[in-house]
Amino acid sequence: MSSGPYNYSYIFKYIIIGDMGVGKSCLLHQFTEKKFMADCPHTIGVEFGTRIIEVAGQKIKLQIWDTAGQERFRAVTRSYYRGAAGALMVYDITRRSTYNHLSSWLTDTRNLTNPSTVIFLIGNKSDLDGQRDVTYEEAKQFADENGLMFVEASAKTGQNVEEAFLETAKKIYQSIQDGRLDLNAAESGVQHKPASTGRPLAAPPAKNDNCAC
Amino acid sequence: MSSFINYRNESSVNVSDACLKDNITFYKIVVNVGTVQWSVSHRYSDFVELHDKLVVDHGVAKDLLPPKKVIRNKTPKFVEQRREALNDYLKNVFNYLRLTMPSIFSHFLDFHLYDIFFLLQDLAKKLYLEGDKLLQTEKTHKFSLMELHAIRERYKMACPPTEKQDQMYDFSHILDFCSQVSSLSIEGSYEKLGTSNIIPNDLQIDLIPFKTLTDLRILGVPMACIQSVGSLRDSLISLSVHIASVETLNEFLLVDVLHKDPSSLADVVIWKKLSTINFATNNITDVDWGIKLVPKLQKLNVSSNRLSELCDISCLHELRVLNLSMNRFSLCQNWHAKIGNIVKIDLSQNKIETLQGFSKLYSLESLDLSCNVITDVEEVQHICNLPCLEYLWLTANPVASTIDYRVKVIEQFNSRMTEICLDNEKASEKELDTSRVLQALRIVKEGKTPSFLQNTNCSHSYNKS
Repeated sequence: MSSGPYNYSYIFKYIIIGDMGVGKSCLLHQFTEKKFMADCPHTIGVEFGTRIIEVAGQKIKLQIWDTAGQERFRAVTRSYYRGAAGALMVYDITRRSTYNHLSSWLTDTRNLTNPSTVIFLIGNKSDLDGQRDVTYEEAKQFADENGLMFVEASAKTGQNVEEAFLETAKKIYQSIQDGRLDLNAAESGVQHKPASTGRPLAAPPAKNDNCAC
Repeated sequence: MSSFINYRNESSVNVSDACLKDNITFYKIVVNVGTVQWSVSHRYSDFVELHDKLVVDHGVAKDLLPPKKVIRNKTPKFVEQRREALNDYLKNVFNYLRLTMPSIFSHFLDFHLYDIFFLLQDLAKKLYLEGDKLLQTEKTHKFSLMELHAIRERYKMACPPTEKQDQMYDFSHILDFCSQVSSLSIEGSYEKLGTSNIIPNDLQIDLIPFKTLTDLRILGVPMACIQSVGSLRDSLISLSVHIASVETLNEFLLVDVLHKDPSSLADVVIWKKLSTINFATNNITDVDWGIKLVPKLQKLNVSSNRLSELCDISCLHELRVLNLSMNRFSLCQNWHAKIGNIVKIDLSQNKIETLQGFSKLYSLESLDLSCNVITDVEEVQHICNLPCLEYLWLTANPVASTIDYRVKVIEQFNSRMTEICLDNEKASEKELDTSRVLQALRIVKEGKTPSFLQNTNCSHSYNKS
């Protein structure tokens, strides 16, 4: 195996949220596997995925938590907001109710993440334009009013899926460059990792770590 | 396994005992978390070391620890006094630090060995620092049942991935690693873990986090403990399950659809890439129809089981190697109707008497029949016309102890006698000479043309007269 996949300098943590059945797991699957998962089962609690991308010549590993949309899992999923550098908030353009719930998702996100968390709004299922229930303009306005990034995507065709994940990463990376995001804070959701792999266990910085092992 | 986070208020520690080892007094601390219990031994100087750090970093009162004593510190009376004092000390500190549980204290009490949360913190740190290196260099990664169980339980906890300041301890790193592991080995045990009352094989584990697993090796873990095996259907290439008391292959191959009607099963439950199955050393009595869900199967090993007959596996077009050694086969009738294009069969250590059933396995190149109960050398007649057969083992059968056994067997292969490797040995020149003499005698006796002259159309229904 080449050393390629193991050389990355940052880890960004993402969380994907939104109503049940809007296609959160499918977006994740499309992004990590580049495939559409036709009959995707309901997510129980949380799911996890990872992929390495490149932003401005830097390799970045995305650790993505995909949450369950069902109300009964809300308690579990809430605990995953903390420490997310990026939040992808998804609704289904063919179901108005999923769009109407966005404000409650947004409230959760704002309350549970830190101010530097990048929130990206995704209108999924753009391939089903014929059944559209929410116009692009309306959602765009909502996004602008709340300072969110916005795109319409399709987990089925893969349209704009890469873009959503990548744009979020770019914005986070920008925040690091600007110094708006503190790398050392646990809540930042970003970890810097020196590119050298195979570092021995003895090397970790002892800061904040009083473990005796 | 304990879950301190959930049983914080049902936890206790006490210094129950003192014992002398190599002239050093050790104090035995018993830790209880819910129903889980374990013990850990420390000498007085360990307490001192711990205490100093707790005083500096966590505001524990300095004079709480019982004082040092230099002389006469080994008398039973003193040791007992000190045990009581240490007991009070530890209870005090435990109550004080119950909510924060700093890692120095949790390590002192061995929480990192027996508790879900603390074990995973250490694991996350290890995988964060070394995970990439392990993925690059390791052939197979071995997770303990404790670790896998902890991951499963942690998944369900409504608790953020990072609890500590340092992101090294983030649970995500563990899942990140799991999702990249391609070869996983799990070993079970019925023995209590360390000093605890935890029995690893009582713990439930879940294979959901392993998204790219191609090779799974299970040793001594009962199938009932393992969940989400079905999620491996698309990725798994090689599977081995040893000493797991498996009784039917269906137990593993069907998993979540075990109770459904076989005719209603769709393509979804097919093992798409699985090509090697090794279920050696279990209690399997039947190779049942579930095997048909593994269409790409090339090697099947069910050695050391309780098989006595084979079901029809001719639908497995790619099956080449079949290991059935150490089972209870005796008859083996009409195997050509059950097995397709097979190349190698190992039937050593069974109870086979006759070779009749193998007479039409034309693709067979290697047949191991050592340690069976074949008595008549003429049995070889059934397989002497198999066109590809090159390796044959008959050693440790009654027949192998008869006079001139080797030449009598080799002789029956007629023109192919030079190609046959019997019991790991090709026929020597001398044996070939003797075989040819025997063959000549046979022709005279039976009044037949030697078959090597008609070997171009060697008949399939050859019968010994």
